[in-house]
Amino acid sequence: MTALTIILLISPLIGTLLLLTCQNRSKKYSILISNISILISFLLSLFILYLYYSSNSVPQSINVLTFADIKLFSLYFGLYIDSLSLVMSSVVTSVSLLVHYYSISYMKHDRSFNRFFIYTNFFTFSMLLIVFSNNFLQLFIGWELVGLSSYLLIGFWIKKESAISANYKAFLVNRVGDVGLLLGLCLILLSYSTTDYNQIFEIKNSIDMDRMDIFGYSFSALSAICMLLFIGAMAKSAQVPLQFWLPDSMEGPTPISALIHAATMVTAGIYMVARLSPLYELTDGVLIFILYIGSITAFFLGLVALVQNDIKRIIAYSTISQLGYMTAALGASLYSLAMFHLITHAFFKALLFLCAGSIIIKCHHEQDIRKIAGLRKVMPITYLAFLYASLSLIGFPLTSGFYSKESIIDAVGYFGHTIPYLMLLLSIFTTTLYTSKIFFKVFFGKCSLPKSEENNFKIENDRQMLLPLFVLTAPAVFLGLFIYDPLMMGLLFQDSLAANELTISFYNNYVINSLNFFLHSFMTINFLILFAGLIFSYFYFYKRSFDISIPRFIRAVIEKEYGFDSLSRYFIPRIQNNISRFLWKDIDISTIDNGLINNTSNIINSLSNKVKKLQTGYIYHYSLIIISALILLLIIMRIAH
Amino acid sequence: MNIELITFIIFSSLLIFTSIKVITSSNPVLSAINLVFSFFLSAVLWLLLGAEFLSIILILVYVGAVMVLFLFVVMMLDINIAKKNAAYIKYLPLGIGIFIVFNILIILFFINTFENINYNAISSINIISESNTENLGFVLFTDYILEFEIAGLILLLGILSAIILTYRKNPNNKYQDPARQIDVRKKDRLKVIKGLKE
Amino acid sequence: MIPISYYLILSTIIFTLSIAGIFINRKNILVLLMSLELMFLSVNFNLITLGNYLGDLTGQVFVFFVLTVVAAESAIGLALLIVLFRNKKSIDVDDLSELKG
Repeated sequence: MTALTIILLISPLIGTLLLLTCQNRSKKYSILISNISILISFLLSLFILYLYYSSNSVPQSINVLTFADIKLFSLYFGLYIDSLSLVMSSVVTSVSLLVHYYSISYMKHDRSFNRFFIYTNFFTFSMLLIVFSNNFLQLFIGWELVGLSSYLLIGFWIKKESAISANYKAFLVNRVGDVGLLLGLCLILLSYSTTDYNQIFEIKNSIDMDRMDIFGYSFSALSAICMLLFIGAMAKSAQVPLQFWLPDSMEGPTPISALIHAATMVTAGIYMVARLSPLYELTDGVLIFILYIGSITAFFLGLVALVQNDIKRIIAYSTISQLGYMTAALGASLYSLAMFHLITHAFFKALLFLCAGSIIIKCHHEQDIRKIAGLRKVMPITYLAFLYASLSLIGFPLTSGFYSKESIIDAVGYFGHTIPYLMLLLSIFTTTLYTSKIFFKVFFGKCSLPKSEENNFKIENDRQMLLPLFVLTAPAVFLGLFIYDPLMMGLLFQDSLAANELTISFYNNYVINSLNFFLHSFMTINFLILFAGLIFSYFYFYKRSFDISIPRFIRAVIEKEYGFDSLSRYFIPRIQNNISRFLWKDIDISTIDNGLINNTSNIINSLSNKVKKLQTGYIYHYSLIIISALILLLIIMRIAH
Repeated sequence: MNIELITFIIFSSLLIFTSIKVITSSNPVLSAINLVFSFFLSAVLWLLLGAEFLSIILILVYVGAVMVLFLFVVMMLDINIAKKNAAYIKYLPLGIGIFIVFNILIILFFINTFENINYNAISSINIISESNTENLGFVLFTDYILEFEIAGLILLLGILSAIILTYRKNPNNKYQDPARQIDVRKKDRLKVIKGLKE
Repeated sequence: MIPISYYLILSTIIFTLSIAGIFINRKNILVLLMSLELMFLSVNFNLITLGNYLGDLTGQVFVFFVLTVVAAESAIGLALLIVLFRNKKSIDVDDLSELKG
């Protein structure tokens, strides 16, 4: 199993290296290599997953390679094979495979076709590195590599100015999180002297009472570690206040958006917290913080999606909002539910993005939904796929999204977190609104395409682009139904997540099984809100029977994303600018250059100008000085005598 | 008042007088002549001290060689003998001041230090005989032989540097250049001319 | 016998006279050289006198070497003087201030 996992992990890397060495080969070559390497990973992860569950294996942590083995701690390249990592790797590789396949036709006219596949393969490898890491160092390396590849991919169109600024922004915001992660890592090394997950989980009980004092505040080292690591997760998983890079990352090619949003990047933060759930369970206050951050993100960033008009940006904000759900679930110790939503979200969000990609291609790179309309007839398959994905996103009963999202909301409510519960409930409404906004505007109404293309026989895009849509529709709709029961009974993520008992108790006390949950949901307030949202959006977006004018101020605030973007774009740079200017002008030029360096030379210069007057060049002046000194010496001798 | 002391007083006062003449006379030739006189006078005083060899050397080397050299130079150079100018008068008080202060200080120092004079010490420098020359020669060629040879080298250096400094090549004179003589090639000297048809 | 301090006082007077000579002579560098000779003379006086006083022949040996060095020194000094005169057409002390800072 270990050997297979290693092959699984390095297959995309080998693909990257092969592509890198043969960049000038034909497109066919890079298609073949990239897709086959991901396919190998995908098949292997399914196979290992099957092996794992069929043989009732226990979680394994294997150190494969040693980086450094010094007295204080050891650094390994290792594998952590358990249900969590295997399920995650299956999700990552499946979405990645479909995105790769989809990209073949999406990117076929691009000049940097081969470069694209190098990056995507590397992206997948980096994410798998995080997924399978069994120590913090490897996690950190994978984390940085994910950041790097996302940077490269968001700025894939290197001649597009907005893309360059967007990838710059994404990179910088991720750096902020990385500082947290790195500090957390340092603190772990400091207090545990190891980076291995298992060793930390084992000794955590003896050490969590170890308290630290900083600025007079006393808190446990473990809480500080978890808090710092969560800051890293906040940046990666786009939580308030580090969320504003994600909408801008839409500047990259659409398959990349699918990859980032569904599988390989934003889920890393959620995955890390779930992976470290035994640690988070022991902290005080951090989980509440995570819960509030998650629910705030879910509600407020959902609102932002309402006022956007770019199809990809709307979906991006919906991703942030859905990530908020996952984070809230983490905060409520419902790690398995968070992972559940992560999995279902991966599929339906990938589907949504791929549909959006098809629409964008069809409309010749037009992304403004006000200018796209009536595509239902033109793209029937995309229409259906989008419909299912949207239903899953808004949590329509029986779909995947329904099971994952409703169970999070219900569980948060069940365990008595009132304010987050309310926020999550309200965001069902906003989710419904912005999803149907895209849906109705894009697919209904008068067709925006030119007449000639409307009647084109080849109405859809390439078949290559349709296949991933078909394939993804299945898990996007039905996956939730199948894995709901094992998940809730604690079978799916057995032995790998902490606080499974919590979900089990929720499961036992609240609902019995998936079917019951489905029936039960019709009687909950969730369904009422969803239904209200659907009715409202039907009349508002489709019938256009009434119009609501939002006060301009509120609209402006929401459109400005509550000022986080301006904060990062204008306010912080200005402060930084002023500080740098102060350092440059006042410290560097005035104090160091002029004050210390030039002044020293000036003082020496003026002093030597005075001293050099002594050197007249006349013999009698010199001898006068000598004689005077001699006389002085004699006088001193005389006195001393 | 013995004859020795009388001799000393006469010659030392003459020495001081000639020294003053050396530094004050405006004509360098006069200065040089006065310097010769003062060397003679001090040679006499050295005889009084029992340093016969050195006093003879002083006359031979200084008066015979160095001072002649001085006179030579004075005459070689075309120096206009200026009158005592304003600067001379201006700096005279400074010179006198330094003279007086320095003298007082050093003389006070000597008077306090050398109150007890050991008259017997003079006999102990006569190592092998009564002759000062023999004694000095003995010491020079035994204990100080290395220094003696170094002194010879220094003199050689003096000769060489004096020659190199003052030597001036006269373009009218004919010289040999060995380097160029060795460097010469056949074609420099030999010019082959095609024989004229008769 | 003449008291030793007489000789020392005599040499001091000659020495200070030569120092004064350096100061009051602004016209002729040749006279400065002569003052230097005078200075050496006074130093030689001291050496001989104190050598006698201490009963050591080394004083006279030293005078011998001083005479040698002074001969070389005056030869080089006069050669330099000639070169100087050739280049500057003057041996005026006041004109010689090339080393002015």
